[in-house]
Amino acid sequence: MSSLSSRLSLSLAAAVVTTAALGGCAMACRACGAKCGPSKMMSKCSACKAKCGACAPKK
Amino acid sequence: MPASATLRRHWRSASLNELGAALHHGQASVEAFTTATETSGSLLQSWVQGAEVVEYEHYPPADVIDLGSGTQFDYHAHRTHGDEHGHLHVFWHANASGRRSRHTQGRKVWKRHAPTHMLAIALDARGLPVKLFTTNQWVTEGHWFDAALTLACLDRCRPGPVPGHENACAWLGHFLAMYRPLIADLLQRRDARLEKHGTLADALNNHRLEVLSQFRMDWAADLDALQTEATRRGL
Repeated sequence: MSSLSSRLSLSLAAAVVTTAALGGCAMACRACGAKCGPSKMMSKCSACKAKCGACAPKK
Repeated sequence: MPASATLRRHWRSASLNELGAALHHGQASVEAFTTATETSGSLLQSWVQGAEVVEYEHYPPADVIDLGSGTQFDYHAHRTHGDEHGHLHVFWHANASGRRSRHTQGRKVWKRHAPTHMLAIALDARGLPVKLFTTNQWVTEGHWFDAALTLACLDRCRPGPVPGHENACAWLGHFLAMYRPLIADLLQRRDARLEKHGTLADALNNHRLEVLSQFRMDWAADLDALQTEATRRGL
């Protein structure tokens, strides 16, 4: 039986390293719902922008 | 990091059938993870698709929803805890008593049938799972089930092949099944922590309680321990 951990290591050695997240919505208004809640099929954050603009990505 | 003591204990006392099933889930989860990495760059990239990751944004934007199993998950990032890049939140669609509800595309079915949080899986920048954790209800919304009911729901949390996310769905289902004994422990610790903070209703809305329980993990070490036990038992 080949080692699963070896397969995993080989795969990880070739994996793309994703850069850290850029600053985003501070969720101050909570118009989006819970902090880590599921997507609710709303149009993407337009409600928040209308209210406080907190959802606009901060670069 | 050594393999999980909880998993090793569980596998030592498991029946041959249970051990064989765990080994199957381990193999299948690695297979799906490897395929996702080969085709998308990483499991994480299979959701991010080369975009710049922005805090709190969901990847993919509308989440991955499997209408068949009622499973929903999304990846996002908003904290830097050690080697964590971000985390996957796993939800299961249910009514308040934990019964399965069918999500209908395009309809708002969230009032009584809510996607209820099962657990979160932290990934490093290569997409490797590094931590399992649970969150309080105010963090993730949805209904609230005790550990036993959450685990029963989680047993049905086996996403089918959602188009564009087939590998991620396969990985998630097998990964959750392989880690079931550790997740059971994680959920019991979650409930035990809440019990120390007054009534359940108060505790669930206590903003000082965000992450309720967590385990760091070493997937490779756990896989080695699983294979070692399987070999010892002649599988």
